[in-house]
Amino acid sequence: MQVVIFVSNDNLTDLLLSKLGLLFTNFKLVNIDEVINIFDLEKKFSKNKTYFLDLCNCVKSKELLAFLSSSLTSTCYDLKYLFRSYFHFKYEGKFFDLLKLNSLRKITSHEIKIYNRSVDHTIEFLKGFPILFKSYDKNVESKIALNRQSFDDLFRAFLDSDHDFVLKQNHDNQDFLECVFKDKKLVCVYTENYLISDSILNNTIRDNLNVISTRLPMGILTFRLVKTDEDYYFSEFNFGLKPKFIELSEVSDIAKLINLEL
Amino acid sequence: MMKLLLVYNPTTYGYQDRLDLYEKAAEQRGVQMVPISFFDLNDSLKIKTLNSSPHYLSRLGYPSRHKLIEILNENSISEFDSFFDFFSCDISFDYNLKRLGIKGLKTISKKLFKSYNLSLESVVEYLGGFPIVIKRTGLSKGEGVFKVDSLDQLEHMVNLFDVENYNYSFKEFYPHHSQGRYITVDKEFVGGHLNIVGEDFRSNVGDNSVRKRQNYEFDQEVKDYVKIIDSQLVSNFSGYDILFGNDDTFLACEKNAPCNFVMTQKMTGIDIAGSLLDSLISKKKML
Repeated sequence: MQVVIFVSNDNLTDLLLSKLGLLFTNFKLVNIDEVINIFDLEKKFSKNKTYFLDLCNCVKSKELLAFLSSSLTSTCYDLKYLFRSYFHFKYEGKFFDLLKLNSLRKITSHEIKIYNRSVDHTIEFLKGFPILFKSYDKNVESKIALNRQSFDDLFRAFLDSDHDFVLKQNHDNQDFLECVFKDKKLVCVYTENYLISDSILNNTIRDNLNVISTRLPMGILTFRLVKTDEDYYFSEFNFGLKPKFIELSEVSDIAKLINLEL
Repeated sequence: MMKLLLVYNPTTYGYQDRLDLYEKAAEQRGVQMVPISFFDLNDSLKIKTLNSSPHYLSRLGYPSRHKLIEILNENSISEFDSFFDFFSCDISFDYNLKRLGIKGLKTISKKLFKSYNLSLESVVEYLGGFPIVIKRTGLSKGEGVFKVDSLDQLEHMVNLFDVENYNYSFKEFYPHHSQGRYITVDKEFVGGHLNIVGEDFRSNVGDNSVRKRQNYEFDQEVKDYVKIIDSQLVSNFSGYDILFGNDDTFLACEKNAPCNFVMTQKMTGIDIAGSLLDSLISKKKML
């Protein structure tokens, strides 16, 4: 079986590379930000058993993985989940609201249009200022509205651009917890710099993680919680692992988790 | 009396016929159907009254999901196997068939095309050369589906689609003589019929006075093929389009969920609306 790992310029570090070298005796790295001949890759990977580890978890990498997948492909979750889109964080966070969990308030430009919400209502939903404007175009810089005037200006500017965008509740992106679940069980929590034992998490966070775990499908999922003015709120999830987890964890723990028999 | 809260989009083709069939099926089962238009704004009070007790929740027409989710609460019973699945949607159908090792249309999505700066020449070569098909997503009845015979023509169309910010995909051209509509509920076949392709290469164009249809018994081979796909998808109420090729092969070119079942129900007499309702009745609340 060959191992193929997707990385990008954003996440490829020396530490990650050395950890991957300890984890796998042989692997092929695909940097999705470099020039890639996807048709050559398809010919190469569709004929042999291939284990894909997508450490980018972005639209670009998922699209490539979907294209390259064949009946000989495997990864650390049931591949059927790659062929689904998820809107657990859309529609005003209803998924989390019904589970009585806090999720980071977000609203897309598309949702603003279909819900026909007033500006006041949108600002209230996002729990007031500051409000983050983020374009779906990676090249467009994110902006922060600090008051109604700057909100109106930014809203007009982002609407006039060719790309959809999302408005997010204020939060600290550096202060986060990432929680890895395998087969509905919490297996690891880490911050920007270190792994933490779930026993030191406060009761609310622990209870919230217990609630979410019962609702998850089998396989490996990573949830990210970010710090808001109040507490850590669920902000995103993806199937599979993130580079930070590989960097921070013991090789033996990672190998056990992904259960890869080479 | 249990209610069936049915969210519909009145711009969807044939929505009234579908509502009528659902209403009849509901009546026969002692269920009260309550249609809720996608365009009903500021109806939160009405919704609060309707979803305050256990109810069946379903939808009709593609862009109606936000209204469906507005209604969803702890009393809802839906077609989906879990609360997590309710917030999930099947995508990349053709790539999924390839992944499953079964025959499908070779496809390149706009996302892949743009993300990896593919040349149109390389796309055409991958798809087996001209003619190819370029297809806008999210339309029905053959709208936005074009057969393209040259690079010039393809470049013009891609430019136009990009200017209009349409989503689209490139597909191999598959000469076929007929298209089967194959409907499943809870991963089981419930009914289907055959559309005969006329002069147009698209099997689903033309109004009912033009289109030629016939009842059709699907082979076990087709049933086994769809079963493989269906078992992987989140939807529990799907309409597959099966193309029967001129070379005696067949393949699924797309899955619609929710699907239009009116013609199949009229032709076969099979109560498809009732099958969906029976499935909902057999399910439990997700929360």
